[in-house]
Amino acid sequence: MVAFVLRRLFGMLIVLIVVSFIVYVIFFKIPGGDPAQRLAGRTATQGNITAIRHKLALDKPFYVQWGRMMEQLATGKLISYTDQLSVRSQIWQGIPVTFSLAIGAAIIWLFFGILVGVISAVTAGGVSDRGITVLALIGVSMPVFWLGIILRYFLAEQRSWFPDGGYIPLTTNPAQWFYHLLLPWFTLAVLFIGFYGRVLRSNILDTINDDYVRTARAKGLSPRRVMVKHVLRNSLIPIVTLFGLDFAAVLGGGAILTETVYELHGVGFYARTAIGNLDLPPLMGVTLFGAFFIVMFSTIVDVVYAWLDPRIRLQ
Amino acid sequence: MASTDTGADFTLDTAAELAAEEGGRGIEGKSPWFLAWRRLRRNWVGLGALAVFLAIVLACLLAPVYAAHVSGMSPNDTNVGGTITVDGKTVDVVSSGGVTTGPNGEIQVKAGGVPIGPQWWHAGGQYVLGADSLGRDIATRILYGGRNSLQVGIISAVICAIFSIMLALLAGYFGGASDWIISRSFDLIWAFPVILLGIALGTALAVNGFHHFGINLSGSSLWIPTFVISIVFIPYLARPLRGQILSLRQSEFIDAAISQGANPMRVMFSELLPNIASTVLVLFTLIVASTILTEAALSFLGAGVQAPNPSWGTLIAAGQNTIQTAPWLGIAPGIAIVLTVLALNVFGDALRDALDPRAKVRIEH
Amino acid sequence: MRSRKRWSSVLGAAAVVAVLAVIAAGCGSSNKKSASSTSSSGSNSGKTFDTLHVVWGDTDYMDPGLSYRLESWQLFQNIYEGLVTQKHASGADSTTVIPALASALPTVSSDAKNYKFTLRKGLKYSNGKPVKASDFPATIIRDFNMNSPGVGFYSNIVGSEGCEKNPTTCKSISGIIADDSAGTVEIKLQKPQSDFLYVLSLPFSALVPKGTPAKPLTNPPPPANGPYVMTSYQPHKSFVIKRNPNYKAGSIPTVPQGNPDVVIGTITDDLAASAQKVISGSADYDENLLPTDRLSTIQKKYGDQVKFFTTPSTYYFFMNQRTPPFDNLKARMAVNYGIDRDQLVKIRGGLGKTTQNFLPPTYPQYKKIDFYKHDVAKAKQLVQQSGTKGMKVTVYTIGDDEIDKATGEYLQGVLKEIGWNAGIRELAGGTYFTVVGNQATKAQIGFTDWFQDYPYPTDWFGVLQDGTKITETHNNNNSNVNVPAVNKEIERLSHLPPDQAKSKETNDAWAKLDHDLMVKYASQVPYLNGLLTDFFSKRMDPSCNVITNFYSDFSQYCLK
Repeated sequence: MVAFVLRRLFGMLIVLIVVSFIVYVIFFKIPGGDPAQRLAGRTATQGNITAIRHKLALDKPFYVQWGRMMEQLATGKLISYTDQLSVRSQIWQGIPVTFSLAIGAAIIWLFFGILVGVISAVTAGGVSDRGITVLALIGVSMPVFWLGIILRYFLAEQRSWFPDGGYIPLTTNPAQWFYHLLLPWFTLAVLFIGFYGRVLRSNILDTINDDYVRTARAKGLSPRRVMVKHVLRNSLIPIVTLFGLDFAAVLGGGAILTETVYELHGVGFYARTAIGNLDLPPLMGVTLFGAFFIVMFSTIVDVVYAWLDPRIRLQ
Repeated sequence: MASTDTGADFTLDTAAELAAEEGGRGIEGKSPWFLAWRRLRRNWVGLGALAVFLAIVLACLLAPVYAAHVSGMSPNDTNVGGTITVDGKTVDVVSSGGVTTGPNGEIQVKAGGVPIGPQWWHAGGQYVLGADSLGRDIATRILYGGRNSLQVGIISAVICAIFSIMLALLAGYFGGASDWIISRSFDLIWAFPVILLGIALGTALAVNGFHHFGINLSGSSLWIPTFVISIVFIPYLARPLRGQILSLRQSEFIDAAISQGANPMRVMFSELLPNIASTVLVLFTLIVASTILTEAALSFLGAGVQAPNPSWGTLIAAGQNTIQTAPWLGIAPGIAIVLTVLALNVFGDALRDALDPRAKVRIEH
Repeated sequence: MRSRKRWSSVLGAAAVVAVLAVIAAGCGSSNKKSASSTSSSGSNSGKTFDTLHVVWGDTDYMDPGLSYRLESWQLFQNIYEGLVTQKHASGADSTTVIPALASALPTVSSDAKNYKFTLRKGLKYSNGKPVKASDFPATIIRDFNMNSPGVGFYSNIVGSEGCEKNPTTCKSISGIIADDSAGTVEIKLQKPQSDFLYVLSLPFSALVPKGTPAKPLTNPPPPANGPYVMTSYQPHKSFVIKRNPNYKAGSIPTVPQGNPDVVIGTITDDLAASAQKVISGSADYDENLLPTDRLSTIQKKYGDQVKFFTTPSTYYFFMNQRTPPFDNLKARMAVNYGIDRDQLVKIRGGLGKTTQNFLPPTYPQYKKIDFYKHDVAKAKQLVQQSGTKGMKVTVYTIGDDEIDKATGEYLQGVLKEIGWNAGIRELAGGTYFTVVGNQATKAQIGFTDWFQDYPYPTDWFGVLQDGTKITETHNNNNSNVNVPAVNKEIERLSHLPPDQAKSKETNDAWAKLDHDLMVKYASQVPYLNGLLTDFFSKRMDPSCNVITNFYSDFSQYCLK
């Protein structure tokens, strides 16, 4: 078991290193991306630019530069080309916002997704099932950023039912923090509620027909007990996997659209700005931040599965 | 009749049930494909959705043929200073503003720049859905934008499917080192936050295009977002396929084929491929829905379809800025996306229901 | 400088000599149009109140040695003072240079190459350190060490060559002699400079204590010597400004004492949210531009709380004369005839006044040019005559600003209409100027703008249209204008002694340059001077709004 975990952790590290290398290569040779020129400013002489290039080691081969960037990232010394602020501190400041958004939305979508899935499975074929299916399908078909724009326009700008974007820290004013996040949470959750509802519904309906469920019924267990003890539990396992990966994806960068639309200055918003400026250091920082969560959650899920199912461990 | 009541007794005999569904007609000798087709045929909602989707695709693809005639404008024609006649009155397409100096040297500004709203048919086909801030016809731009969005979405899904199938076959059939390399590349793409990878590649390539390996694409070429999106979705399709192939690989008929000395290509394409076809089909509709949404998101962020080409995503981004005075600019393209993707999803559901005999519950029509 | 909504430090040419003429005690001369509110600095003082809440646009730095954004400069006018400053008044008065840390305007030698200042006594920074004469050379050297965008302004100082060659390591400039015991600063110039006093009034020249680290100071920014100090700054988020505890009231009589005790600022680039804060009353002043699509609704509802002001800025299209088709005069004229300047104002939501001049109308050197009528037929004819019809032309513009984007797309439409195969390339604002400023890009035509650094034509012609200042990378002369006679005239007018810098002959000469470049050589396509907005909450008295050359002066705000 321990060996398995170690192997996976090692794999995680390799993946992160390769990811950072790829990001670097993608942005390395872009015109307009030359940081020395951008940092030098308007009235720079050639002397200025040369000095900056040397200071940033831009005159060294690209793998040396990559190594340097990794080292700076690890020690927290990596600074943005645009505003010379520490990338680590900017990401750190964005974390509460992104986490508030992601966790809140996740709770909502998990709760409602399961609720919706169970209801539509239990009333399968009936009116509520069809209604829910239709709503779920619509939810899954909407671009998240468009939904955000529409909701913000109709509910926060035309009428003042909700605040018009922005983030209030939890420590400053919990009530306002909550109020400001309601629309973003809902916007982000709608897509997943629809999706999870449908997945759960189809899982439940599949499981109901599985042999062991029929056996349980044959043994005389009540339908409700069968439902909860066997069906639900087994239907939820794939949901949990999905949830882990989706949550990681949202943390990792999926929130970028919602944060942009609602002016929430989280990690995703920071990424957006950095991309607009072709600013490699923040982009590297944010991508590794996201990749880390994705890989970590994948690993956790794998480890849990391995612990539950010994056959997998041995692969 | 398909049972919809979970309190009812479970039937154990799949064949008998199918036979019952088919209205008593025999199912012996009919291939699963034919049966699937028969089931699909009876799913009117699904077929209706397919029709809607095809209609939208057609309307957008054929836009160059008819759009200009109806609206009198091509999608990029600006008309900031123009006027149109609405019910006999002449109206500025984009409102005028101006700066004057007041009595005590005060600057007085009359705000302008507000485009005209949806005229429906009052202006004879012009500005049916209104104008944008440069006086361009929104309806025309939505059609042309749809053309680009659908082109990118569908083609990237096709490319993704082709690559995924090939990679899954290679990984699943050969196993060992090839499997390891291919699976690790999936892991790599998977680990990249999807949007960030798409944005990073899209932005980087948009700046200067792609001029390597003998390929020359300018930064505004539609092939760039197409390839970026297809790469991003490969793991979503390839992994399930690989899993399926791995388990098929163990089955007897494959073993038999190999022991008979059939060459790998034959095994892969004649034996394995047909068996994953239904999975491919079902997943394919889902992937297309996803690629269309992803293209919209990337274009919204400026990392997808590049100006001057319109796309539903870029139209929404432009509409965001005039949301107060001209909300339809942002709302209309979004509705187009929702309709298209919804149609695809409904049809995808119907397809899945038709292809998967184990799903017991179907909405009766 | 470039316009406000730009990310990152502004790119520039390796503009060597920003050679400018001296402005002596000459006050701002015949200025026809006044900016909005007309109260001058004196009448608003004494109306103190405790807290002013403001919403501000995002900026690059709050370090005067590095910042090159008007958002920061608007705040600096009350925090960081230099030897001299520009009067905190609106209209013609705003261009007057007055002493700040110096006790009087300098003694200038007869050959106009030597300036001597005497510091006021008893001045202190916010950290308690006294203001010393040696702080001035230290400040300039710190600018060089940090590779500040402002170093080009000092290239005419004797002995600055060393710093220009090795900016990060230079330690002294021989032409600046500071005597701490006598409290004097002497500056030796290589040639007379028509605008040197203006250069000394910029934030780059504002004194910071000797020994301030040569790196961007964010939180807190460098110590202040003015009536206010910025006590905290969270980049992209917020700032707090309080009264400078070590500033004795009246120690710099030429600068307003200041009405608000504390200024609390929230930073956002979301124009709608920004305006909303003022509407809801949680902020008293919105520095951001009002969103153009809500402008008329806000105007109707909040009428007198909205103030417009003209900015000394020109928005124009550059046309690269090194590449076809714009190496051809007729082609350049065609663009000037082909565009409809009124429509470009519409695209800006009405916030602009059309222009055909390069200089802004508030300048004494401005003489209105009315040459190009919007005439598409004539434009088509010119394109035909130039022999470049059908050529591929790519318009460059900024893609993440809606107005700039629309402007570029409009231009593309016009170019197509008059006979070229016009495409467009939209770039992110953060990288736009690096890309078009690079000769290798070969950008043919594109969007650009210029907001004055200070009110003298050298900041316009010398930086943007001087053929001797063209560089390979981060070029500011995007059109690559290079007319020897023009270059010579710019050079001549930049090196005048003080008494001639704003004489009628000189002003006429600048006006003629403007006319020649725009009409005879059709070197650019200017189309409008921009307007911006100030938005006040109900409790503020908008008549206290004084627009200086660094825009709205918060120290003079007052309550109703």
